[in-house]
Amino acid sequence: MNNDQMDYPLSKHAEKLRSSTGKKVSELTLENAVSGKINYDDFKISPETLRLQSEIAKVNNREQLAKNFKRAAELVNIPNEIILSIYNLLRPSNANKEKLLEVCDMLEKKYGAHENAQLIREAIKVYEKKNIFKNEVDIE
Amino acid sequence: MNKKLITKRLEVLEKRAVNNDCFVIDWLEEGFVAMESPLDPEPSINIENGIIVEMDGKKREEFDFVELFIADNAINVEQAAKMNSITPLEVARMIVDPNIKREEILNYTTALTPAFLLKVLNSLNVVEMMMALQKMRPRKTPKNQAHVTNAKDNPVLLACDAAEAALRGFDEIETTVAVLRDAPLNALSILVGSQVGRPGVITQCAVEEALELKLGILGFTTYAETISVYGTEKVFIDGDDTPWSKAFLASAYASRGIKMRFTSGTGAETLMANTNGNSMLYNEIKCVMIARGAGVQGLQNGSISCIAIPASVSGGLKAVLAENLLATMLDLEVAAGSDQTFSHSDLRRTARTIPQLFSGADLIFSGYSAVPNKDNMFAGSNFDYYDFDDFNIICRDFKIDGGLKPVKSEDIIKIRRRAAKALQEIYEELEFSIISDEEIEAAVYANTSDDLIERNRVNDLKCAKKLVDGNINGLDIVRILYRGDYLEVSEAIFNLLKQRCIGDYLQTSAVFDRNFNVISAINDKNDYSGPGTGYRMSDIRWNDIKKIDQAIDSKKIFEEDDEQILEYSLCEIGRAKRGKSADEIVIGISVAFADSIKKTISNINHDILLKEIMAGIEEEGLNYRIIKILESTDLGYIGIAAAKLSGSGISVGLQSRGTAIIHQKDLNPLNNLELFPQAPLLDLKLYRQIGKNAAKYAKGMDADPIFVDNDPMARPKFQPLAAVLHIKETRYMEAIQKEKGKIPIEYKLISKKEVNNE
Repeated sequence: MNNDQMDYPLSKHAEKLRSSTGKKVSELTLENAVSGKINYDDFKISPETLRLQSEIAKVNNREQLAKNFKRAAELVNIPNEIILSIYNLLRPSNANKEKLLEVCDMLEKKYGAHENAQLIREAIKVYEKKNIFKNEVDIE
Repeated sequence: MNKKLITKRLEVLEKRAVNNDCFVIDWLEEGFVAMESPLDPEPSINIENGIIVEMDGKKREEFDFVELFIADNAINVEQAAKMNSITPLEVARMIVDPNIKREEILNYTTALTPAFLLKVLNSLNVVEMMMALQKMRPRKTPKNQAHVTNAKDNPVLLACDAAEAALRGFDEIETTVAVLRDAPLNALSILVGSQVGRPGVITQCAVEEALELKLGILGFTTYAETISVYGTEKVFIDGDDTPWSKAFLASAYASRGIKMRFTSGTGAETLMANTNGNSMLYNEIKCVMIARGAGVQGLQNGSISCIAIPASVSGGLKAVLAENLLATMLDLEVAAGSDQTFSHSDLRRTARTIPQLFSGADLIFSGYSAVPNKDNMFAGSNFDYYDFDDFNIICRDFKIDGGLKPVKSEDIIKIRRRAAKALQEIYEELEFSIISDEEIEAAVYANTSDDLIERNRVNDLKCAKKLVDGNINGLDIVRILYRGDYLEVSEAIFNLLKQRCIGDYLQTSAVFDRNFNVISAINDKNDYSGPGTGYRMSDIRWNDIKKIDQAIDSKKIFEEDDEQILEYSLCEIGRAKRGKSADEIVIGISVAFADSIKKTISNINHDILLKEIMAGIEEEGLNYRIIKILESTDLGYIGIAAAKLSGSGISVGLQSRGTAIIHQKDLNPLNNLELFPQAPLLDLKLYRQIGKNAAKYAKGMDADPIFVDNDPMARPKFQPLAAVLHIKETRYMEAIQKEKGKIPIEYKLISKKEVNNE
């Protein structure tokens, strides 16, 4: 990645940016939108663009924000329902340790989402220590 | 029972608005204390192998999960050793020192523990905090956020109000619901309305986390804010989340190209009865650090929905300012609250807003109620629709950019109607329950949701369900509006969708201008380093803020003669001579009287006024002459000059604006018999009495001095206009003197009929 690509705002480089469906951002025009040449999925941000934004955040000394965008890049291709279900499993007492480990496994193997898996592994360690896993006795 | 000793004045004082507020004596053990609690820990940090093993006097094993998250994610461990080589006071001084750059300070502030940061904040007084906020907020240009809601979730009114809010200058608009199931329709209404009002405004719908995310994914909202975090583990669990679930949610939003910030605020832990015995600010500092640790770009804080809790204790509103400042010290966009009612007192709610407004914040309010508070479904904001004129005028008074500007009623009506019509088109195309033209007119002109034509709620709820359950998304709205001849609205919503594919507005403190140029902490970095740097208002912006409809056009008043047609006019008799009869009063008038100026400041026509004074004199059996004084426009001078020409030595002096004096020839100009300097308070009855009293003095009788009511508001209402009229009269005098010299001239008052005959 060269400095030219990282020039903010990225909107200046619409020729080089692609949406997650592979459409060039410069093809995202109102005319194409109304004529049906592009559809709603073509407006999805791509992992590459999020990584560029992550680099920009990093250059601006925003480590945590950069890390968040990196995690986001990994989530782009994960369906909405799965994202929402992972979020719900991470809420207090909604999952046991095994379930969350399964999620980590799926994230890594199916989606290559290592940063997210790492975040959840960090959570698992804490949830175990603080006893905020789903209480198995309470089930049903 | 002992009767309380109280004066009548104290009785009135007790009934003042502020005494309806609830105040609480500090209660340290339960965290009912703002920011200075001896129970808050002393700062400490101990790092082993790059891991924080001790923080603020606690061993890692004793950390609750909030502390664990902070220790592992929010503190720059590489820099953390710095903490041991610097004192909180030194950091506080750096923050206020204009010569030390924001970036340099962030190196320290992002490496400190909560207790250390608390000590830094406690080293600052409120003015220093304001200076610090001005310097530390990430984005240079201050902006503002609106609430747009109504008690009936009426979609037409929501669209109108969002359009007006956008027109007034808000960069972000937030809605919420009366009934949760209405959320999709509410989001759609403010999306459409906002883009009619000003393309590029971003919108959110504050509801339950999962639904909020869904609305964003479908393209009906463009950002999210109500992702709450808390300062203690127990309260976090009660809130049904953990720092890790929230951090994951943050990434989920970014992965869909949607801007988001967290929400927290002092008082939440106290209200939820789990403070760990710490002060409100100490717990809030942890929230801000969670936001930083999770990697969100910004935070809405400033107590938010718990504001009455910090506001009840001593130093509470200072703590609220401190938490806003802290967000900026951790390099987060700050949406600074002031978004909830907390006081009955207008003085107090204004004072609460001043620090954030005067310093400027990324978003000064989050948000300002752009609807009357009666319709504010966030339970009311600190400022609402009815405060718009006050707000704009305060910004004009102090040359402050509050993000808003005055707007004209015709523009408001136009934009409200266009928004409602655009929504009507969408409802028709989507086969939702029809919006009638009558409904639109009612919503365009409505004050509150009471003024609307009722809609079928059951049908609307079914449509709301269709909006999220079917196959409808933001792009469908773009297409409908395009076909329906709402090209500019269609294009704006299209651009909002396109921006989520680019992600520039995911960066810190980002908003859009009307051409969808992103303005963020990267390309509009706050570079404050003393006078002449940082945000300075452009002339264009200043002209917008200056232009209030209420301002009188002084030049126009100056240049144009009054158009009044008087029933009687003054007819020149000739050079005034000294009167010989002891039975006469001279009415001395100023040079523009019944001439270029024809009425007093309170709109009494000059001929009528003269008639009353003359009648008063005649009632006492005396005569009068009318003499115009050309030498001066000063009332004292007019009075004495007239008195010297008066056979009785008594005069009534009048300025065109209506101020009056009773004078006597052997007194000094500034010494007089009776003076009536506040023209706005004089009515015809009083002018007649002035004539009568003058006559009584001439007859050597005693007269009761005339009592004029004291109106402390006469000055704010009339003083500038009085100055304009006095300037006009004085300039007119200078012109007349060139033509006629300075010799007084005698006039008589004759009817128009007589004028025609002469």
